[in-house]
Amino acid sequence: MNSDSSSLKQALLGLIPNLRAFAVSLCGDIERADDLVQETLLKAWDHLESFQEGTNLRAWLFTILRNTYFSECRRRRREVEDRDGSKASDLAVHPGQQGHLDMQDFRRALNVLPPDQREALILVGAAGFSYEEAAAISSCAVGTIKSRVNRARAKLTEMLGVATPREFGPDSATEAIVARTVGSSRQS
Amino acid sequence: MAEKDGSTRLSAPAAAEPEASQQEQRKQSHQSMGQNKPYLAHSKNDREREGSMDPPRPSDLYGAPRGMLDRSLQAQLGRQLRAIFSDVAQEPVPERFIKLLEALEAREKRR
Repeated sequence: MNSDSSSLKQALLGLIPNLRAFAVSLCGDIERADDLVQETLLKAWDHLESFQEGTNLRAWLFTILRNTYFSECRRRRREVEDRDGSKASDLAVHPGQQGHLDMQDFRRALNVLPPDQREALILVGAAGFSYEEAAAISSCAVGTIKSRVNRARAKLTEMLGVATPREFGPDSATEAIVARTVGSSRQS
Repeated sequence: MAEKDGSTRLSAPAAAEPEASQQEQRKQSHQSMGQNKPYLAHSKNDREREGSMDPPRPSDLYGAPRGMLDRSLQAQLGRQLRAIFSDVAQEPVPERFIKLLEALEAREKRR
């Protein structure tokens, strides 16, 4: 068992950076992410017997992590909904940043997505899993993953699209001036 | 409460069993997965999904049809998503996890 536990330790160590990246993208908070990773490592260590030898260890760990995250979400659903609500209302477009998508805005937009859509988008678009693998990790149909990814992309585009050069040009500049003028006259 | 072989299982508390049973259900699909895939997403498929990896050119962005703008925006979203992921994935393993795994290994050896 000693050599087993040593090689398991090495394998887990090698996958920690990926687990942290997944956890941060999922919950948007590095401290909570590290707690999720810790719980994942403990569960993986204690339940190694349920890992199918020869299958993808990384996918197995991602599955444990997302199950941990989602059951935590269910426990604190009310709290999470409140927080997401306030984040959604915070999401503002900054006229000065037209022309590129600000990284902060992107992170915030990502956190506003429904968790299942965010998860699908991260698994497929960032972690490099196929739709089939992502479906296995999330225990849902491949079609469900595809539609979650599409909805997530559409929503991000909608939220962030306003900040792209599409809005450049006299029309939007005029609108901005009008908006500012109206805004300031309302204040006075 | 000894089992047939006389041993009693110490591990596997009920709390963590959902993973195990789901694992069982997913056995089939897991087995079809590729093994040891690269950890970060830069695969060819990804590029196909995200559209062009080239940075958007001004001519694409100003006065181009809507579909083109959306594609370049999609590509940008893809890049930012991967950036968020890989920023953290490239950080060294925090000390707390190294200690945790050492403790788990030490516990294993004492058994």
